[in-house]
This record gives sequence, C-alpha cells and structure tokens, in this order.
Amino acid sequence: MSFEVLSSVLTLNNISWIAFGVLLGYIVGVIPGLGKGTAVAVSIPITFYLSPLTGIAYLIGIAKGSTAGSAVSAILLNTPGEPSSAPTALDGYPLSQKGQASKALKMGLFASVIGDFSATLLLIFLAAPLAKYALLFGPVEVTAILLFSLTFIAALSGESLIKGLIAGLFGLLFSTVGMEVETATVRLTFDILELYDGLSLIPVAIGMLAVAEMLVQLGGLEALERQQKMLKGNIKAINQSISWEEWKLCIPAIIRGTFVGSTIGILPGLGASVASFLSYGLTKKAAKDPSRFGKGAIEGIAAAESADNAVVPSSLVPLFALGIPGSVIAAILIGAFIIQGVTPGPLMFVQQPELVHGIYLSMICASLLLLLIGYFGQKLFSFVSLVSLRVIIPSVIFFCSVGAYLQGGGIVGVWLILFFGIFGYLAKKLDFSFVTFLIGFVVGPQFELSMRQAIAITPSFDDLMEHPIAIGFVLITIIAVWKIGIKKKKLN
Amino acid sequence: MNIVNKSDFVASIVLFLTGIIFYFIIIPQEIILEDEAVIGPDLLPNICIILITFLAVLLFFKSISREEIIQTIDTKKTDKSIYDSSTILNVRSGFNLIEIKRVFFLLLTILISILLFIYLDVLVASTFLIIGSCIVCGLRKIWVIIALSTSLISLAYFLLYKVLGTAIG
Repeated sequence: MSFEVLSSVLTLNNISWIAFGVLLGYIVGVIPGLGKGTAVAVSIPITFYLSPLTGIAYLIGIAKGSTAGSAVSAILLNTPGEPSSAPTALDGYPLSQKGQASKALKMGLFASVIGDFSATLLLIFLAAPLAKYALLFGPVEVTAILLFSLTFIAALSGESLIKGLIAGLFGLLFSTVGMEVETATVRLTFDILELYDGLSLIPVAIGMLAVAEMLVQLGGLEALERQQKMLKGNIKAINQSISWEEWKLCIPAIIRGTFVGSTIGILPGLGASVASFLSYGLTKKAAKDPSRFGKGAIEGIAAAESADNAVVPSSLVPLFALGIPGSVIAAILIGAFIIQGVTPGPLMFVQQPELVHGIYLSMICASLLLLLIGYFGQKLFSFVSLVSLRVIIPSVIFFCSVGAYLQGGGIVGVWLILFFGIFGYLAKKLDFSFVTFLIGFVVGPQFELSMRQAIAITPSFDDLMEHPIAIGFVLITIIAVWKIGIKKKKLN
Repeated sequence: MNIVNKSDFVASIVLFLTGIIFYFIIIPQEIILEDEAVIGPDLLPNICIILITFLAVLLFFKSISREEIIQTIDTKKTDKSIYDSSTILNVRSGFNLIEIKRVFFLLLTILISILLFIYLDVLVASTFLIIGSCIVCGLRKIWVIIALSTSLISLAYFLLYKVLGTAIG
C-alpha cells in the first residue's frame, strides 16, 4: 500500500465521513424496521457530491454500523433492528431482563467488531487473486456465471424457488427499460423522456427497500410501542464488564461465527440471517450445556453477532473479484460505484488499484470507528431505540423523496419510488424475494450485453464446447437448482 | 378446486395476465423492431416474460395442490418456533385492515405531494408530505408535528444547499 493511498484515506474529510457513516448506520440499525439496505439506499444521492473513495467508504461505514447497531434493539426490546439479529434477541433479551443489558450490549459490540474486522482481512486477501482469474473470462463465461449467480440467489432467497425466479426475472425485465445499446432502440419507456436512459438504480432501490419497508412497518406500530413502553425507565447506567470466564466461553463462538459468516457472505444470496442462525445453532450444539441457550447465554450473542457482521465485508468478495453482487448492499454499492464512474469487478484492480486499496484501508478504519462509536455511544443508542416509528416513518419518507428527486431524474424519481414502493411492499408481503429482484435489475444490462456477445461468438453448439468453464457453470446451475429444489421439498 | 394458498393463487393469476398483456400488447407496442438487428432488442424482455408466465402457471398449480397444505402448516410451525418472541418479524406475514388503510393513505399522501410539487411549490409539497405522513402514522401532538416538519425541512435545506451545494425546486 503506497503512501499516496495512506494520505488519501487518512484525511480529516475522509475519516469524518466514515465516522458519520458508522454513526448514522448505528442509529439506523438500532431503530427497529430501518435496515442497512434502507440507510445505504437513501444515502447514495449524497455520495454523488463526494470523491469516489469517500463516498464508497461512507456507504460501507453505514452498512457496518447498521449491522452492529441492530443488536441493540434486539437485546433491549426483543425486537431486532434487522432479521439477522433475531438470534441475538434469543439470549440478549433474557440477559437484559436479568439486569445485564450492558454486558450483553458490550459482547454484541465486541463480537461484531471482531467478525467484521476478520472478514475485512479475508476480503483483502481473497478478492485480488480471484480477480486475476476473472480477467481470463470472456462473454460466454460471464453469461454463464451471471446465470449461475441469479439462479442460485433466486433458489436460496425466500421459501419458494418459483417465486425467487419470478422476482429475478422481473429485475431483468425492468433493467431492459430505456435505450438498447446495440441497436439504439428505445424499449418500454411509454414515451417518457426521462426513461430513455433506463431506470436509475437509486429510485428503484429506495422504493423497493426504504419505502416498501416503511409500508410494511405501518402494520406493526402498536406492537413495537408496547415493547418500548416496557423498556422505558429500564435502561440502567451500570457499567458491567465482561469477566475472563465469559470471554473464554465467547472466544470459540466468535471464531466459529466469523468463519460461518465469512463463508456464507462469499456465497451469493444466502445473506446475514442464514449466517447468524447457523452460527447460533452450531454454538448451541457445541456447548456443554445447551439448555442455557435461550435463557441468557452470552456466547449465543457472540456467535450470532460475529457471523452477522462478518457477512458485510465478505459479501463484497464476489463484487470486487467478479463484478457480481452477492447481496443487497453489494447491489446498491454498484450504483454508487457507477455514479462515481467506476465499474466494480476484476478490471478495477488493474485500472484503479489505488481506489481498491483506499477502500480496504477505509474499511479497516470503519471497523475501528465502529468499536469506538459503539463503545462510547452505548447508552445514547439505548435511548435511540425508544424513538417512535410514528416519527421515523415520516422522516424516512421525506428523505426518500428528496433522494429520489436528486438522483432519479427529478420528479420522475419520486413517481418511481411510489411505484417501486408498492411493488416492493407486495413482494415482501407475498414472499417474492426483493433481493433477487434488485440483483437481477443490477446485473441485467451486463447480462444482456454478454449474452448478445456470447450468441454472436458461439453461433453453434460446437463453438460452445470450446468454453468448458461456461459449460461447468451451466451444469452447476442445473445441479444446484435441482438439489436445492429437492432439499426444499424434503424440508417442507 | 382446492385453493390452499390464496395469496399465491391470486398472485399467479395476476402474473399470468401480466405476462400475456406484456407479450401480446406492451412489448410489441413499446419495442419497435429494426430489420438490420442481428439479435432483436426484444429478445431479453421476451425471454423474461415467457419465463414469468410459465412460472406463474407452475405457481398456480402449486397453490392448488395438496402438497402446499402440508408445506403451509410446516412453515407456520417453523416460523413460530424461531420468531415467536420477536415483534418486528411477525408483522411481515399477512395483511390486516389497519395496515392496508394506513398503507393506502400514506401512498395517497405521497401522490398528493407529488401533484403539489408539480402545480404549486416544493415547500408546500414537503410540508404536506411530512404532516400527512405524521397523521397517517397516528401522530396527534401538534407541537411534535410542527417541530418535525420544521427540523426535517431545515435539515434538508442545510444538507443539500449549504453542505452539498445542490438545487431543488
């Protein structure tokens, strides 16, 4: 890492934006119903006015902060800020009821930081070598890999394979709106001039993630308020420290959680919820007395939080190495990269190595800031969890509209968030994976381009036989869908 | 016919009809084909819509098959065991009347504020959006609503005009 990279990252401006991102993410994470997807999507328009490094580091800071922050409401309110913190609530809330909330929050934070930091190191060591191989891929291989990723994500997100595939196909369909690059034909624009350049990711993401989530939360206002009333006056100022005995219980759980989270994060589509539940389950299985779990076992928090936080950096491995988003955050980050004139993927390592190194260093800074902000702001964040959704929903809707207006082509952007808000609300309610939709939408243009090139250079089946990697990926796709389909059927 | 999953049943019919409308009406009208194109610009949209229609048919048969009964019951069991104690995850499943009412009025508020923006002014639209959303969410304290509207608009003004130097309106 050169001195230039260090000097570009360690500036007051850059560090301030990362710290602001982590703080904002933490606050958003603490508030039930506001996830990292919402926070990152709403914040993208701001990055347009920042340098590429600062903008991307700021967004990653939000994602990291939000993941760690969601443990606070899980522990104090028994209401996870995000679904992936649900296993944290299983032991965190009982500990809180025993008057050990401070201890539970500290362990949640330490496990989050360790998981996040380790997975960041994994990203640094894994992405560059993978990208070298990815540079050898042509359009046929890229088409096959994108097909594999989309199908795999569709198969794993949600309960139904059919619904996942439908969501992914809708994502691809919406990505075709606008001018087609090869023939300059205008497609599906309904004569709306602003759509000639295609649908911008920002209003689509804001609508699908933030507006839709606010609509879903409208149904749960009273239930959340009951939990908040119970917590009021219960936040104690006791500074409880974690004993060495408790650390000895938690260290293996953190190592296990970090491994599980990192592995699951690299695989596209599985997500943080799978990682945290799996890690929690494995730790419970490995425990000498599993009956303690669910009643306030501190290692349960460590297992869930380390896995949850390890997913964010490791899910960037396929994005950096192959240009394929494996998670919602990665999909939204593509939008931010494109705004900054950067195409994420293997070429980034060749064309803009300083930026990649800068992002790595910024991610490490974000991990350290997460520890500082989380540790010193613990009590403040506990009070944030008491803020009513009745105040939060109008605020989020307002900022969503402003963001969509700024980056979505004016008032058309606001129309789009309204449309995709309804679309996302129905998708969430009917269990059509919005993750698959967004990833389909993001990879759509690349998929279409590489598919066209692939058809042009391999007109016959014999030509296709010259691309064993592509054939391999197509076979893996078929086997994966078949196996997952059978497994889901058996589980049902 | 034994409908075991109503939402999937309705969704499959809506998706099937959407597929038919797109394939026969929208795509031919909205994508004008040029003769010189080697691969037509309607290739991917058509592939997507054909597959969506096919999958909608599969979903339709799945929603009326007996297999789904067992699946639905088991899923409910699993959901309960994992999420029973957490509030936020439970609100996701199913629709209820209060929620639908609130969703409708919130969407209406956004719609009216867009129209206010187009025909009147950005400040009026912003104020209406915030106050309308507060009322839909059940906020009744006037001073909270006024404080929230003022602070959000001021914050947006400060952030967008002063810090980032953008223009709105």
